[in-house]
Amino acid sequence: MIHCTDLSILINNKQLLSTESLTFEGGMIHIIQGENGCGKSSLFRSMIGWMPFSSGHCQILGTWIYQPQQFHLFAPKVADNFVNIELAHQMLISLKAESILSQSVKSLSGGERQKVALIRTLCEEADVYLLDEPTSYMDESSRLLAYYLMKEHLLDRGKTVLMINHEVITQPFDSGRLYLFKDSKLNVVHTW
Amino acid sequence: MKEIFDIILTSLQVSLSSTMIAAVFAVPFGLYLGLSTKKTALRLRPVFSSLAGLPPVLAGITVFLLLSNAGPLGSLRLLYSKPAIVTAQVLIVFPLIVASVYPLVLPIKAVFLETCFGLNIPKKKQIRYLFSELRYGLLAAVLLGFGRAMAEVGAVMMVGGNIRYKTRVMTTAIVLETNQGNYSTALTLGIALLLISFSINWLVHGLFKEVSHDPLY
Repeated sequence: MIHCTDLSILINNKQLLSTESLTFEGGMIHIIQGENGCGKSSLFRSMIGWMPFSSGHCQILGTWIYQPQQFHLFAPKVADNFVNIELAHQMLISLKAESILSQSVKSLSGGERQKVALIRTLCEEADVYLLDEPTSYMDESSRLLAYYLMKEHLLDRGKTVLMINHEVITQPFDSGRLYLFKDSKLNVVHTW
Repeated sequence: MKEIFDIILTSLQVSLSSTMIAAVFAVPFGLYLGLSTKKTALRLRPVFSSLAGLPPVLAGITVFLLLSNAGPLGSLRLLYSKPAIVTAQVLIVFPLIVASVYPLVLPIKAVFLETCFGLNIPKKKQIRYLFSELRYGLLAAVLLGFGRAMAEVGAVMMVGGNIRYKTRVMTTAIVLETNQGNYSTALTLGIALLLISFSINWLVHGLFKEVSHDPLY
């Protein structure tokens, strides 16, 4: 669970976020949407302490893992990115991308890179997962497979997942909340 | 012929030693300069870029003054010896390697650090990943330093003295042989130096070729 109080993010004199109280409950997915540059990524960065809040504070209960929108893959081989190769291989099979495990990182396409990054994140054990546009470069069928993989490995095990995503997707997830980041406010627009 | 081999061997000996000594300190320092956001580090970057073009005679005279009898390290009696040449070459090669290493970090720095932070990767492992990531660039920087050390004349002449069978290296020997009119020996040494230089460049070129996986390049 994540609980934030009196949050305010100010970058270059621009108020990105100003909210009194925010709680992200565990065991469900929280999908955050909003226009480009509205501050979604900054919110995630601030939550984990990579970037300071202008005011207020945020408390993440338990351990966390964060996948940034622009991520780095460790070279030279795809396999170098995983500690648990066996688990990663199983997940890659789920995404129908098992052949990339033996490939060089530099030979991957944008979508394949995202698959590797997502699986690397999912392989890590934590209570809270913050994923910043983890499937934006994937094709439609791969995206759906990725969502089911997230459900199986995270949500079915009671993890809290916060995901920035431009696609409205509820089908694979049993329960969740859809937020809209607009005018420096984060509002719940749909709960299921 | 024996003398030529001796000269080549001396050249390789001093240049390899100076490059290795410089690299041991310059590579981590260059990585630090690239990764650090401290003001001091930001200010030091252009300083090292400027020092990469340090006139070798300046390094030569510095070492000469330090090691001469009247100098603070005169008692060590190192002037006109191989260690003196190595010292001068380290002074020349160190900033060159630092200036070649820190720009390697800059393009990947932000994304690399944010990814490592997000995955809670410990510092030691981050450094290991960084070395693995930049290994070709780091090797190229060290080879560049080696090439620079091999090609050095002025500073080596100043602190080594160009003493036969002791401190005579390829570059200083070429100068001497040319001045004495022994053009064939000078040319032989020149060709040997050129071959070593080419070998280094081919090696670097081969390594960079291996890096590229883009079918367009």
